[in-house]
Amino acid sequence: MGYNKLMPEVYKASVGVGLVGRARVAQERLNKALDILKSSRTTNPLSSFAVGPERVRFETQEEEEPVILMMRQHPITNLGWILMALLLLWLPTLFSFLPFAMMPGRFQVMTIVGWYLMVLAYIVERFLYWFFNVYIITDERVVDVDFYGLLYRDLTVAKLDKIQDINFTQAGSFAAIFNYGNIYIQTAAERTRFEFMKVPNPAKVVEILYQLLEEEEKEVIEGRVK
Amino acid sequence: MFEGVSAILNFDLWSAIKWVYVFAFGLYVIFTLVVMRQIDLMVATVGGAWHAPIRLLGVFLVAVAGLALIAAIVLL
Repeated sequence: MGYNKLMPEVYKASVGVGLVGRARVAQERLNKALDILKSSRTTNPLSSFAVGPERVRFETQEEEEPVILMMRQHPITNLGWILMALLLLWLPTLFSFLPFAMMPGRFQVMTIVGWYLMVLAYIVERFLYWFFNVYIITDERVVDVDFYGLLYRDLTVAKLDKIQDINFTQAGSFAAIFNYGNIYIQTAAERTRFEFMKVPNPAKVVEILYQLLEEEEKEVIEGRVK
Repeated sequence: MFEGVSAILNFDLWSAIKWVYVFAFGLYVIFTLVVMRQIDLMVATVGGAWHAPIRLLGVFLVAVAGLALIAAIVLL
């Protein structure tokens, strides 16, 4: 006797969606995010607002857990250190002050080499911090990856159903012109507050998060929770 | 100025300064090795299609630092 035939849909659903069903649900969520953004999947690895990036993986990522959004700080926020690097690159032209000019030629050369190596290290470090300090939204969780100094990392994760409140701020003329802002997510997880700093399109991100929360609530009601 | 200091102290100031430079470039090599380790950690935490070029950047930094250290030892 088809036991399941007698069961209402809601109970049948609670049996579980399985990996194939899970992938389908994840794909639907990604498609909704793409609809909201009116965009296709991002392939540019330097993008600060990557929608459904296919080859992005992060530690603790689960099987069939697609990345819906991966954000970095808006590229314009790099302007300060880029200008500083240009200034530092230009500075050796002023190296004609007295003690430097009195050095033997080979010492002058190695001083300039040393100077450019310091500038190179500065540029690489700043780029790495921008590139790897990312905020990730999957169909199940929000993830905040932070690197501070050398060799210190902080990876914080909260499930979507733990999110209690989301808001964002856009302050300053640069933020208004280039459309970036800070998103604050209040959660009931171990870390109670997530801050996505200076990310592009904050309003759209909040919209996508609310959409995902709605889907998550539906899953809970229908008993399709993983 | 530097010759005057050498004459007063009766030793070759530049050979002493050379080892200060070599020491500084040696520290820089160690720093680049730490950066390379840092890149490994970063790539292990968030990975993607950019693995290879970013790792290459770390190798490039170490290579440049190594060359600069050798140049400091040879030239100075």
